[in-house]
Amino acid sequence: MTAVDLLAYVVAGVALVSAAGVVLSAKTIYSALCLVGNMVSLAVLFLLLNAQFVAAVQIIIYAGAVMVLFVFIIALLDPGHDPDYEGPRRDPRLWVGIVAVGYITAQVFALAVNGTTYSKADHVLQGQRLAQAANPGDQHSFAFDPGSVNAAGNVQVLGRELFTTFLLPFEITSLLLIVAAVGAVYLTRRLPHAPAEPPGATAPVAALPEETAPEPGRETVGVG
Amino acid sequence: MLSIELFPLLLGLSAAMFTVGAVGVLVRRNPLVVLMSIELMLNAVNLAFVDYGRYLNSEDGQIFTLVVIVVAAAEAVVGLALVSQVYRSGRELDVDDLSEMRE
Amino acid sequence: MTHALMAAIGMPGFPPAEDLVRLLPVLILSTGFVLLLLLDLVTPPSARTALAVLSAVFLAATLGAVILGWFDTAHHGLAYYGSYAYDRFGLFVDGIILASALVVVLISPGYLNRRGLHYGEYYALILGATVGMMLLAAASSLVVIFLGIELLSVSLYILCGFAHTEERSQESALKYLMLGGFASGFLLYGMALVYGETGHTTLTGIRASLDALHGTDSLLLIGIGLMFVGFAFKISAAPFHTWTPDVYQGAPTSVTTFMSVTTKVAAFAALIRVFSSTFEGTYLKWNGIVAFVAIVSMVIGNLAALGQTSVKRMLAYSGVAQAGYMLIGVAVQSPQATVGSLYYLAAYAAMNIGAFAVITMMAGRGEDLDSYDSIRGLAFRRPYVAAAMGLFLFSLGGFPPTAGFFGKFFVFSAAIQHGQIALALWGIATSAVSVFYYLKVGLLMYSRPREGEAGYDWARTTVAGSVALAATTAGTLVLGIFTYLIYSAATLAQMGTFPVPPNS
Repeated sequence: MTAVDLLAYVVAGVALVSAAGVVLSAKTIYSALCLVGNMVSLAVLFLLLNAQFVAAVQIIIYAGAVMVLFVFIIALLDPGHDPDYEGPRRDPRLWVGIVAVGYITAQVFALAVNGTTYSKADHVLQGQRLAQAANPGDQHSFAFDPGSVNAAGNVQVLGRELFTTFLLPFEITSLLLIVAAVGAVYLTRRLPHAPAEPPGATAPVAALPEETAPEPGRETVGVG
Repeated sequence: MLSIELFPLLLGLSAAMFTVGAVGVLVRRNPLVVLMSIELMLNAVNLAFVDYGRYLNSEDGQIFTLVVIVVAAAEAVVGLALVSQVYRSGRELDVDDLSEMRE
Repeated sequence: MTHALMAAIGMPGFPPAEDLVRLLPVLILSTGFVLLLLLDLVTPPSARTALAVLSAVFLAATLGAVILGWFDTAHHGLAYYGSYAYDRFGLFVDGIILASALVVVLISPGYLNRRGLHYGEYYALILGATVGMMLLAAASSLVVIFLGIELLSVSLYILCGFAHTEERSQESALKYLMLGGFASGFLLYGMALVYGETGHTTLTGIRASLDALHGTDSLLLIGIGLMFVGFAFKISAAPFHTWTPDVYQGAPTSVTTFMSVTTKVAAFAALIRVFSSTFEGTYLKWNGIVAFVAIVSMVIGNLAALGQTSVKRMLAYSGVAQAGYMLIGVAVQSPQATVGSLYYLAAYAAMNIGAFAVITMMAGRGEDLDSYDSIRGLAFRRPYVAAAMGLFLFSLGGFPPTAGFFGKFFVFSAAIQHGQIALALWGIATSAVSVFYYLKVGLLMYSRPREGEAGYDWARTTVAGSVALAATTAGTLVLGIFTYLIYSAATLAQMGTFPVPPNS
């Protein structure tokens, strides 16, 4: 076992523990912090798996932008404790969950030890890739690991793939992002005229414990 | 370089994370935690893709991962906008309490 | 944009400009989407109906491009390195989706105005979702399938929450988003396993791998199963249907009209392309699961629909049952079964959009025509609307000579021909049950309102609404009477599928 392997074991452990933390924490903010930890440890694993660009994107977009958004919303809404969630020891469903996690993981691990169907088969594509790697004039020369068959993970290869083979998906993502941006703006916009709905229609709200009532949000559209 | 023996370990890790995320969606009632559990599931998928891609020496897995990250970001944006809207109208953040309907 | 730029630079390995022709319908509609977003900024609130007209024009133009594309067989084939299939299968499904979207845009302005929700984003998002559906129908790589599903889903999450100050709408959107995200997770993990075990993300490559492998790993089968779970969520097949009634009921009715049909149609197209065509070699390993889900959907959908008191929820459960009937076409491996499913999709679109359109158009100010009580006596004040609704209900119940009858007929007979008699019997038995709840609503429309009860304030029928109703009525009848037309089109669609015709 090399030092890199050892690092991978440690980081994998961190990833698993932080993943469990997301689900088990009673406070929402702890869940978010655990998720950040999980994402960062995944980024380390991506680096070890020769996926440098994905690792960078994982940190910048995921752990950066998306999680900042989560933390921002948590800070804004201040949900505090999950009112009905009393921690892992009180909830029998979580133990069922832990058994399920253990079982499924063991199964997938055992199946994966045998390797993939693809790698066992003598496949055409494998030959193609070998030929590609053997071509010295290729962009593959910027190999992080020169010994490997190709330099999957280096930024040039990904960039080229993204603008050739995966051009259509790349362009669809732009549409998706516009839709999401427009949607977020629309959904959080205050309408000029709130619908005249009787306050009595929201009976469950009255039963809320007082400390969870959203004071800062009150001046917005609301029900009343 | 990571030795190839770690491939099943990381696939197992991704399966574990995926199941943890799925359990979180089913068990937790706070919509923010449910959204985070969904992110966890997507992260597990990313790990599986990159792991397989490394194992197969194919970069398709990494491209797929990039796409998943974009989609996860888009979904999170819309999801958080909805959560904040629900909260604004003065309701408790609880998935099961969202039951205006069902007559 | 990128495309033209890169092609100009002459980047090696860049997709040929010919691929742009193949993408033309999607390009037209995407242009419409962006244009509507921009025009919404400068359109005064009183002129928002113009946006509806514009979106209808773009949908019609796209439909025109699709029809032209149907005859343009020279260009048919895979584009963008095998990730997009320009073929009759995709174009057939595109036609259904676009026609449905057109009807929805026709009935929307009146409904949105009454509900005080008339904003320009609505039309842009409808077009965005339609683009996603068209991409899904034509997708021939896992990446594009995933992105198509996400584009349509994210648009629909927002549309479900379009009445974003109303609790029902918020709830509907949040539920849909959470369960949709959950389902995407399953779909994606399945895709990861399929990719890992076959080494490809394009359907062509996956199929070639599967053919070359002769034996299948358990992980591959788990991947296929997880992908099926993801699709089953999207087509709302039981036991993955639990979100459907709540989401359908809470969303603005015009959105329900749109999503109940088009999502199912587009997801079914992808399901057929992936399962009946790509995974065909492993058919014996997964057909049992598909048949089981089909039976469960038919049973649960029909039984649950019996006890409903809201038309929207009843139609939601009926949609679960209809998904079950359509799944028979996937569970049976024969070309006739695929054709039957395609026919059923067209029939389902016509009759279900029609039924929901009536609910949408009749919705009063601020509330939806939702409960069974509110539909009572419709026939005495709006005889034509009630007659059309009666026709849709007959068709959904599977009476001849309507679209629904022939849809069921083709699917069941394909099952019987293929020796899967049990499936057909389950289908016939559950259809018999379904007659009760469809007729119940029909009878309510034709029964006099109770004495002393405040009558429901039905909205007036607009011109656009009448056109929409006439179109769906005509569709239901044409599919039922000129069956041969659509059946032969569906046969051509099945035969013209790239990369490989399903079950060929």
